[in-house]
Amino acid sequence: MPVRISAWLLVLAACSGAPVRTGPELLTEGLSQLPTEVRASCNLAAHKCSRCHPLERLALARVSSPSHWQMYVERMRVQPGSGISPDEAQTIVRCLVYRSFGEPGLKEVSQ
Amino acid sequence: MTAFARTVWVTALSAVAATTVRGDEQVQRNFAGSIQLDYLAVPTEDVARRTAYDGATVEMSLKLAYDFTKNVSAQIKLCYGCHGFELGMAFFDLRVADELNFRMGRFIPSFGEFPLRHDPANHRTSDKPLPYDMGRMLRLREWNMGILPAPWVDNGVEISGTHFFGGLSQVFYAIYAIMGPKGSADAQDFDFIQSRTTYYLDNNSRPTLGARLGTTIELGETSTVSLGVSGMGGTYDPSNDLWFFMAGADAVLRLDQVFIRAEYLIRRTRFALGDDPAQRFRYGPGADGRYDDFFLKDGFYAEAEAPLDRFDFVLRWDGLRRKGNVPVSSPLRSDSIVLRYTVAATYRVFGALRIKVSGEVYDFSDFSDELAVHVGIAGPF
Repeated sequence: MPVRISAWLLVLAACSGAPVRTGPELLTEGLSQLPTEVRASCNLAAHKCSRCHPLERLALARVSSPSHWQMYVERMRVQPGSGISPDEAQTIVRCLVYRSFGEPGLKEVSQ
Repeated sequence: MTAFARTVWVTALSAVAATTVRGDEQVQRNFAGSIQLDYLAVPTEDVARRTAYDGATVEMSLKLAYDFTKNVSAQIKLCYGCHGFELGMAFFDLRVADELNFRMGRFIPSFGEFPLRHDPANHRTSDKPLPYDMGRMLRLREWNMGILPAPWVDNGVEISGTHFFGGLSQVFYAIYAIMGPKGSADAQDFDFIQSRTTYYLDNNSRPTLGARLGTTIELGETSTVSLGVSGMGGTYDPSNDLWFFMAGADAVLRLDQVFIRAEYLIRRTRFALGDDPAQRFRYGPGADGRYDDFFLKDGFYAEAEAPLDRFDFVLRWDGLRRKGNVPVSSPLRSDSIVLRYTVAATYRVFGALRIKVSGEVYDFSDFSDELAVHVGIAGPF
């Protein structure tokens, strides 16, 4: 039985040859020329959001506009024990908005 | 009008004013969910169904969230699991300030740390810590599951809030009134089937009250320590005679991506002695000739979780203890313990899809020790 399990794991490892992203880099994957400020925002997002759920949840979220991200993060922020302050929420939003909408999105939430 | 009544009215009106939808704000919706398929095998049993719900189980959740404004939202969650379809959430959140949030409807009241991560896609093992077990533990019938099965979903209202002390620490609280667990008039413990069975109505016209207080302190850019205490109490029988009190303490140390967690829960549950306790209970009266009318059940878990490349590893030690008289048909003694040792690993195949494998050794005080193996796949969408 252990041999079979090991074999399966080897097969899976072989099938998934893509680089591994587990921490903040999971949020910045595929983003070229990332502004330093956004990279710092994503580090904070990774730290705060992974307390309750895997970071991949952020990549899966369906949002339609930058303001949608603001409401989304606000709803998460006020969960009892989320540990996200209002200032941190704004920072996290900048990472998520940049991922979804790029520079134009950042300008919209900065207004 | 008394000062208290005035305060309540002013608070309520402030809440309404603060949460009114402005004309320029657009309602936003989110749809999310998760699925876990888990296979439980018990190699130490020929027919494990006698002691556990082994084999394949599916847990699924579908959640719809509505953000009406930054201050008003609603969430509805439908779950499918061993009980069939269940309403996992249906509530409104009205946020007046960081320190004052009203949650009304059907929700998971704030108790302990694990319920924050109860969704199978949000925790790395296939099953839950024993104090929060909802039916996947071995000998679940003899033990009547954990202390507070997670997710505990209930109807009521919760007031909560967080106060931030700069970026270094925060204190949060929650107080709530819910229907509470249910049991029959001659109950010897909670009846969890009755507690979750539709109709979702109270059985005793009296709310169960609870509270939680916690703090998180930043230890550095990527490290925190969180501490919390929780309590809940009320009656669970139709006549309001049978009281229970539950308390818990939890601590989470986070060092970058490594989590070390520990929780302790204890419940004192009064049971009905009936007209003839000698016929109902296995053990006789105490030295004073009287039967105790309660039992104590406590439990704990301590675990460490660390990622390594595509893998996450979890080591967990958890246990339950029950002290007190038992029904005449129960195989438990008046002081029974189960300890469990778990080694678990997940492998991220792609996206958030994870394969979960775990091995558990059960050390029972009243039964033969057992080995359980879980293999599953879980992911959010």
